[in-house]
Amino acid sequence: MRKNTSAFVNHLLVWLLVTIGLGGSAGLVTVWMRHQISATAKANRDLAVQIARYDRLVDETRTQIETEQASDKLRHLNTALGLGLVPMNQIPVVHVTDNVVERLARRANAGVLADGPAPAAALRVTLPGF
Amino acid sequence: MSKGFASSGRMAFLGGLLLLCYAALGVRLVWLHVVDREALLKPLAKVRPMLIPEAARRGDILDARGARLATSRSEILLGVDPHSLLPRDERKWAELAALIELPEAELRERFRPRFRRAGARGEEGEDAGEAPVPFALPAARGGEDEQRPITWVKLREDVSESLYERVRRLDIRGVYGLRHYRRVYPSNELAAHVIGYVNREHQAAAGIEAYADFYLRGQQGWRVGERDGRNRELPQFASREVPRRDGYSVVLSIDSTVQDIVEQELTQLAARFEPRKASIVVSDLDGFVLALANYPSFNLNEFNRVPKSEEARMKNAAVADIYDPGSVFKIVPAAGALEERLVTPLTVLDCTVDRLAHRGRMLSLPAEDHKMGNLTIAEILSHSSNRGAAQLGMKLGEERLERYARAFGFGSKLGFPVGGEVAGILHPHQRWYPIDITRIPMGHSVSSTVLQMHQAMSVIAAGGVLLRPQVIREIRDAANETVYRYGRTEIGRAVSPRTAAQVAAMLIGVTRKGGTALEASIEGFDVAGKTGTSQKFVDGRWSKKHHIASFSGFFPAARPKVVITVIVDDADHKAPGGVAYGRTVAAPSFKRIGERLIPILDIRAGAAAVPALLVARHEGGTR
Repeated sequence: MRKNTSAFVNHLLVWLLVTIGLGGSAGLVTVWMRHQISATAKANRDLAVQIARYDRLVDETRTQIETEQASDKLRHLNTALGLGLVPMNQIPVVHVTDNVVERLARRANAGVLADGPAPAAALRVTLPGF
Repeated sequence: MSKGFASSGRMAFLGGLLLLCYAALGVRLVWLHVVDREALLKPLAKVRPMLIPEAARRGDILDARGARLATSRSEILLGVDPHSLLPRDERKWAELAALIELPEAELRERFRPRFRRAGARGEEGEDAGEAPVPFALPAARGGEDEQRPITWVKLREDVSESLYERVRRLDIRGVYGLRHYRRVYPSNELAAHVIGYVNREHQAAAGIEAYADFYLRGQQGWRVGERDGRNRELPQFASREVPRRDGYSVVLSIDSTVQDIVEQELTQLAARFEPRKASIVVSDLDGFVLALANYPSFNLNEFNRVPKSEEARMKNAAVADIYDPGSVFKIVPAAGALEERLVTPLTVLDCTVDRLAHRGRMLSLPAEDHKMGNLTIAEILSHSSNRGAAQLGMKLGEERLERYARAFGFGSKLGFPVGGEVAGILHPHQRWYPIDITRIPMGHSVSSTVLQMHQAMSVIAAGGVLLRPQVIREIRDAANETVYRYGRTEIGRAVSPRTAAQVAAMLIGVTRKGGTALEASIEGFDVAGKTGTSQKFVDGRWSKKHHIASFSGFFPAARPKVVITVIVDDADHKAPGGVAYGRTVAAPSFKRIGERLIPILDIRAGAAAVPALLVARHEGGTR
């Protein structure tokens, strides 16, 4: 009977120690997990804050660029720096409907041969290949 | 074997003691978590929760080429809690003062801890008080005589992100900023009357800002969380979160290059003629406005600095003010009479008569500026004959003239989204005086906005269809995806394409030799247009010294690409001869703008598709 009682106590102690060990481990794991969750949440929040910060800086820079590119500012700079740039107010492209070679030759010859445009016959003499 | 200390009894006692400890711990836990729960959580529930709002970024307003006309930039309202300052940071104060461009003495004054009596809010001015943070706890209520610390003093309100970074690097405890978005208009005055502005209370007050506020403003986000003892957020305890939704962007049909050309032209007009006001509208053939500008205007970034006496400059005069359209209106009776087949372009009318019978009454016809003879319909337009227009009106009759005027957009709002559009004045024909049938065809006894005149001319350019004037092309979400696209919207058909083509052909004569506006002609292009010069009603009578000069037209006449309207109000004192005619004041502006638009909009002359007979050949005419 005494032997049985001692065995029960031994078992009880072993189970108590195992329970304490397991409980402690579970507690530690829980605490560690909660810490990790907190750390991850904080890292996420920090990342979001960083992203928002960079977005704001990008916005600010973009706004500065847009402001500096405003027409009145560019005109002012043009004057202040003496660049002499002029607005594009003349037709840069002329749509040629007649013979291009003849037209170019006429223009080239106009200054050489006469005041006005050279007649087509003169062009043919100048450019026999055409 | 001796059992020593580890006898069964002692072991049982130890085991029991451990169990008892566990039981005690368990009871204590239950006590804390169940019985004392409310009492323990009550103070925490007051202190730890925090509601963190997250401001949505207001969407941008872009022009047709993607340039930002309005955008949002975050700014920081920098302040200090004087009671949180530490002596160890005092050596950094001078550097802070230099950074925020505040005299050091002024900074030190603001850093001085101050108190105020409870209930004496506002005595220290708007720049001081309780911290204006949304999650600040309400102060404990005390008696009226209780001294409360002032925990917020403003230092500077327009601190940029980069400057705030430098302030934060100083690490002065008690100095902190509150972030908010501020509206910025990079192009200052450009298209001010169209874009509108957001006021200092962040309320959209005018223009596209107000009209498209639903799309632009976005939706504020928020999250509920907890904070630690140092007021730092504990993200792991965030319980609810509604993410912010940034505002959509609005893409306008306004082309900033065209708008800039128009505003430069207005500046030149203002310098040359010093008019009371002037407006220019440029649009394409789908009713989309490429440029709309008024003189005088204002800087959108400094809208609050416009003096009260000059607030009229903030009004969009092109849609909110009305004028007598003058001779530009003659396209209405001409088109109506052609559409009804009462006349052909080559029908000849006697424009020398000064009285004609109409509905049993003898009506006097309006005077001409110079002697006219027998004129074809084309010549009536190109010479701007008042009597010819009156006869066209009389041929149409009151009912049909009113119907055509309304079909051309007069007398009702066109649905332009911004600027407080007004309907103009066109009375029902039943209320007309007998003489009105001779005066309305020449643009008197009827009032319209600049935009109505412009759209009436657009009817001819667009093949007889009255289009709704529009200024918004697209709505884009924060990811720049198009969520809605606006298209051409027809209000109704005014005249047939054939009639529109005939009128367009006749209007070419206006800008040719013998027409009233050779000054509007553009080399290499057929320009169709009409001048207008109307007297102003001053001091109870029609003035001969105050006029409104106008020119509205389009080119190339056969295949129009752009419609331009120029209105100059009261430029007589600087105009040649003391009278501001559409020919001398408005037509040259049309020409200059048109010439500059050719390369920008890639306008090509194309083949002439205009019957030469329709173009007037007579010389003379001044209006």
